[in-house]
Amino acid sequence: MAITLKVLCNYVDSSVSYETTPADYIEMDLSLDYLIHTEGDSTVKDLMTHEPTPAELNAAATKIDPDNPKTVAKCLLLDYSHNIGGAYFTHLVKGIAENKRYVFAFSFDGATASEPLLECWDDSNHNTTAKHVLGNGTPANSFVKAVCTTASLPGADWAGAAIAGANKLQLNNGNGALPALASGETSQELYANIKLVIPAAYATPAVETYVTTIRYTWA
Amino acid sequence: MTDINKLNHGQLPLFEIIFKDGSIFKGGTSYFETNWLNIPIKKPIKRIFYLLPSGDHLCLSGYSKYFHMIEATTDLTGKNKGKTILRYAYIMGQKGEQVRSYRITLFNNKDDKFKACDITTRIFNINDDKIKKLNQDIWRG
Repeated sequence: MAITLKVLCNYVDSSVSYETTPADYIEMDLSLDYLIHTEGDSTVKDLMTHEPTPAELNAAATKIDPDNPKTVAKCLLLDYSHNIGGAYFTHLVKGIAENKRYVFAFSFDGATASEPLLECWDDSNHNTTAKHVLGNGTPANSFVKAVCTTASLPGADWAGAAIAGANKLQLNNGNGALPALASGETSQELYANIKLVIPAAYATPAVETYVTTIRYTWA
Repeated sequence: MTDINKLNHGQLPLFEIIFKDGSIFKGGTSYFETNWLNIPIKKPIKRIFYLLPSGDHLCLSGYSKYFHMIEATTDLTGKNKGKTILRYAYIMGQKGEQVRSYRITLFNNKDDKFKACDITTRIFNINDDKIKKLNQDIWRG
């Protein structure tokens, strides 16, 4: 039977799991919500009361560092329904790029047939990684760095794996398929921390969107 | 773009199993409700007829165990965001140290190498990581 995927963002305390503290997580409405990676400023921030405009996002963009790789400081969840804790369109995802384990949760309501994967592609065709953010055709150079935190903390100053195209993140820490739910359980969660790191002196500033996808299986 | 989800074979079961005792088990009529996990465990299977998107059947027999899975993706962004897109169906048989995998493509975009209905066959050793990390509770036979 098909399983149901939920993607959850921790917006309170990324030291606690969804299993113990579900109230700390917002479930993404995958048809409407989206993530914004930004440096942030006085306008583009946590708890915005409107959806940020392209001009506002450009003004709050991360500046390329001429000498060192630059980690994009913030990830905001654009909550289209803006009905969590007040009429807020944005919530800061807590623990991005930090030594935090419970940042993004991927929740499944049953067993999988193989290990769920996180992937990044240029678009919904899932066959190219030509965008700068995905390594400009070289997946190993992707700015998207991710680490599976299902089993443990990522560690201080974690580097993460470059995610693009065939470079995928195994969300169960390489341990394979998810088993059947234990008695009384209604879901099981896998975790990852994800950040964007722009190489030092990167020559091509850009505003880009890309597609993050979860690949999963059932019997 | 070809999306097998939109093909309609009526209410034909996705698979039909003939057990060695002569009894029959029929699969569900959707890739979302395959009924595979309701196949009796450790009941020897003589033959499986697996429905292909073309309407023909693939017949597997002579294997000691069989495995089935559906592979899907859900995009968090882009034009398919939030949708569950069925990508592949797999039916596998294990004989001795080998697993033969039939991968049936269910979805393709215009420029994709594999087109919907294509069947890709691969043989794995049972100790291959891809096989060992499958959910072992799904094997039947």
